[in-house]
Amino acid sequence: MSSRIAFAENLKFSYGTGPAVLDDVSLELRSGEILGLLGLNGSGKTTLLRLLSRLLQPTSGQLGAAEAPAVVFDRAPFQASLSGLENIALALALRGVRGDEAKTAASAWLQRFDLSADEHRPVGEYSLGMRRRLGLAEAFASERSLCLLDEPTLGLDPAGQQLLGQALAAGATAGRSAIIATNDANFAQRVCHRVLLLHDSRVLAEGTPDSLITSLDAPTIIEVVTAGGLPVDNPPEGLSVVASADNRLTLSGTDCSGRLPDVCRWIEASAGSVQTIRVREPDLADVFLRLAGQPLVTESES
Amino acid sequence: MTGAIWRLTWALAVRRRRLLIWNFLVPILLLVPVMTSAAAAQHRAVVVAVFVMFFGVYGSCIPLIRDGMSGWVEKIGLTGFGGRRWLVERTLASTAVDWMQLLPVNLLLVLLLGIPTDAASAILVATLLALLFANLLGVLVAAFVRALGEAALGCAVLSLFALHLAGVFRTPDPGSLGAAAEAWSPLRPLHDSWVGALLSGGSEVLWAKWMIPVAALGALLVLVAFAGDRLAARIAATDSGA
Repeated sequence: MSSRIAFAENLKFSYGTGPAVLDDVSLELRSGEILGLLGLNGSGKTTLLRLLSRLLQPTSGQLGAAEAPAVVFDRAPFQASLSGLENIALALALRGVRGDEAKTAASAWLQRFDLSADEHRPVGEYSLGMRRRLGLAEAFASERSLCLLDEPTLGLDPAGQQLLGQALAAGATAGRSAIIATNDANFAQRVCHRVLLLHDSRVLAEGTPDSLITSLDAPTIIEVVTAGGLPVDNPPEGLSVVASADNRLTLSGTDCSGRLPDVCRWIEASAGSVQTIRVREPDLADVFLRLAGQPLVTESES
Repeated sequence: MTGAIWRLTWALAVRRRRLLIWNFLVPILLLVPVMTSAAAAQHRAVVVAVFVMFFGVYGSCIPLIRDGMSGWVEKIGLTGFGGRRWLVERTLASTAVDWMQLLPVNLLLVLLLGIPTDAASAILVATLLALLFANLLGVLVAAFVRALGEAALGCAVLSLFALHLAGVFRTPDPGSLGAAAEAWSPLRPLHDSWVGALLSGGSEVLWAKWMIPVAALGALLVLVAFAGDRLAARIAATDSGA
């Protein structure tokens, strides 16, 4: 049986006398497991990571980790006048890794994140995406049993996201664990073994991506954007409204592909014209939408 | 100790070429005209003490504030390196870098003023003591302010007060509280060595008199090391306004 790497029990946290940022949050992470924290901005994901990395102390509750984790926050500071290789070697040296060994490990991880060609360039000349990759390479190079990654896909291109996914999978195979705070449902669904949905400071649901999606009981999803308002009730038979906001409507049901004309007629009869309509499989964003009543990604972000 | 922070501090000092050149040139451009002028020896020595103090305290405090704001201090804490160890290693390295940057102007003044070897040695050692004192004060200021503007003000006020306590701005008044404070100040050897060198050619360097300021400096270093973890945590929180 895999060993426990980190845990939190009935965790509560507030900044000063302010409202609770986290309320009664519990989690457990075992070796080789990748846990996703999925939630809106301000739902307490980063605060939970800061608590687990001991940068903050909980107001109440228990938490612990097997060893000090490697941490990548969305703001990853580097020494701009040092090269990427020197920055990682420095971080490893601070963790007690000796000179040559640190440089070898740094170079290997820069290669895995496709930064070999730029390893001797000053970090001040790196783009945002390159700095994100560098931060991730630095975290993985430390070979800690636990990595805490805050919004790791922010600023990463698809190739970078793929490299991150590969690094996480390889780490998991080697028994290393990770907690990923993100609002990127697709990425969480692809790489996480388990997901914890956070909303309004509390845990909405927890489970594997598949089990959470299955709990929707909706084999297919229909997404509609209308030109006018939204119909309020009586959707076509066999379909149910998952969420409606502004001019967006999300429906779920079985065998939806043949129901599109019904949906269009329903909308046109009660509200206005259909601008776009598409059928897709449900994902974690739909689970979040159903449970929280709010989309995980805002319209401008999507 | 891995010496990682020591090496980093030196690497950054050497890589930032523009700043390095300014740090060599500015002391020469400011101090050489004053020190080679016909101004009174006491006044010239005051200028050196004020300059060295500001050079050390600002050079220590401002980068610390920046490191706190950028998240660098927090990052070092997350590696498990330890705030105390980081702060002590960084302060010692920063003092050594400052001393190296003031070496050209010190050597130039020794040559231009014809200061004998004994007095020149005293000046170089006293400069190192004063810079260590200034760097430690810079750490304390950085730990108790929350913005660069506050840091600039804090450095100026604390430096001038320390210089005043050292008796740099006033004639010593035997038996007074001020005179007692002077005896303990790590800035006193610098002032005394320059006044001695300018007035009498430095024939009377009283090394024994430096024991008390050196002990005071050692005590301050131990204090900063003892409180290092707390001071580092305060510097790391600079950006949060906490």
